[in-house]
Amino acid sequence: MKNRRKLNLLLMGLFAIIAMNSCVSVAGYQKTYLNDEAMALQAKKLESYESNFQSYREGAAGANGGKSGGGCGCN
Amino acid sequence: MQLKKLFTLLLLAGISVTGFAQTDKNSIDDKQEDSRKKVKTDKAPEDFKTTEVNFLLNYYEQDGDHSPVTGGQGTEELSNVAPSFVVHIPMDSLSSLDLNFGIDIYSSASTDNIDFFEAADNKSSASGMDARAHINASYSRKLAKSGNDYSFMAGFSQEYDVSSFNFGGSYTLNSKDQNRSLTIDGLFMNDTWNLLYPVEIRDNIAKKTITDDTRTTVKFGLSYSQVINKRLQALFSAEVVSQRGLLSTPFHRVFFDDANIGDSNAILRNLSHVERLDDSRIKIPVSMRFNYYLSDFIRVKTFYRFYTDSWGISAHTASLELPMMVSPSFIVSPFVRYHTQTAADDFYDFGQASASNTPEFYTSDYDLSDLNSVKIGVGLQYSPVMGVSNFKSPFRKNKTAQLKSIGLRTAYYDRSDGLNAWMVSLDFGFTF
Repeated sequence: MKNRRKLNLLLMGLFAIIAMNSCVSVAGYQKTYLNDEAMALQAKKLESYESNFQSYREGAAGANGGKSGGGCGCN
Repeated sequence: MQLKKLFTLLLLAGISVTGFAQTDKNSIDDKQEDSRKKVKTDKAPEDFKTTEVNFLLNYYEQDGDHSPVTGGQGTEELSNVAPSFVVHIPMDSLSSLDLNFGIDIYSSASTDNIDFFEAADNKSSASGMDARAHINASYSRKLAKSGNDYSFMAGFSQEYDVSSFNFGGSYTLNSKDQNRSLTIDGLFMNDTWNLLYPVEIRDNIAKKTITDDTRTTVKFGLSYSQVINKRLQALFSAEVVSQRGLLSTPFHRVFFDDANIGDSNAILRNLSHVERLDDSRIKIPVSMRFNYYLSDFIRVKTFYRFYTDSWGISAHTASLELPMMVSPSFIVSPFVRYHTQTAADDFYDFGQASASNTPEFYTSDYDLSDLNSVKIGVGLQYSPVMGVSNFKSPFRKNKTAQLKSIGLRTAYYDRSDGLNAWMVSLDFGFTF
């Protein structure tokens, strides 16, 4: 079980390294696509309530810009 | 097996997508960017003072048959209406103040069962309906010299049996070319509970096992964003969350193996126990997000998270969203999300934990069980260039306010233990 967790983290790290290797320098004037509203990396305001309930209905939460503890959520 | 396939698919998609070349539209991009720069430099100081207000109206309902209030059996029916306001106030060109406040009004058939063993005419129904008020404020500032950002935040919430406060801050290092950023953030949360036990345990000192009424949560987060090429950007996040104190819920019941489904209430009321969980928990979620501009019509947004904690839960979450530009002012975004998790070490179904050899910790809360969930939904965003409508600003003389955009997001959530939920959120974006 612990080995499997380590393997998952290792795979994610590996994936990140592979992805980063494909990086090219993008100048400010070339960021039209990236500045598109639908390309934002942060979760939208509309999603915050949804993430909040997910964090209650699932034992796992966090690393998505939402709440990761605190409050009641009793039901 | 399915997870392996999913992970491999995500891996291949990520690698293949990073190799794409983009050559089209660049001359147009340059012109657009030049004109945007001109607009920026022509801005007068008052232009930075446009206050943005988002009014959000959220509705959520769920139903299921595994309420922890009645020991992992019984209704989980709940509905919640939650209006809230998100206000963004620029102080000047470098700093801003954000406020987020609202209320949750919910009715819950399951928390109403805290008095489950009380005769119907004696039920207080005090917990059948409740309201929670919350407010959060944050101050953000960009450092002109370095181009880095920092922010401070604080918040408070109050409901019938829990009051919470939190405070925190973050610091973001931005690269000179604005292609990379590293954010370090920290958050402290404190929840104080009014210990409300199940009705049959309130006068039973031996079974009132909870002594602590406070929960503290400390979170440290690290996130790194990277522009990979003209169409692709990524965000990597990792958090360490440490929780201490009251981590069990005082009115969650657990029944050991001396109880049977179908036993009368007269028998069951003498066999119930209060949920007991370890008073410390470490959570480690690690996630990555890749957003790809596939074409002028469609974008691809992917998310994957791996989660592990000291209670024995490990989880994988993946989601895919495809925003589509139906017209320049209208975006349709279908999305799907899949989540799978293993059970906490101390999770026991109704009548599963041993009464003769009682475990140290026990819970029948299905949120901590072995489960899969699927969420499917769609988002709609209408934001015309000239705004939806204009009206006279109630706050400033001779200034026009605008209803800038209208958003809607709805989703259906299905959990493998039979719980399902439906939610809808409406967002009205104003500028003043």
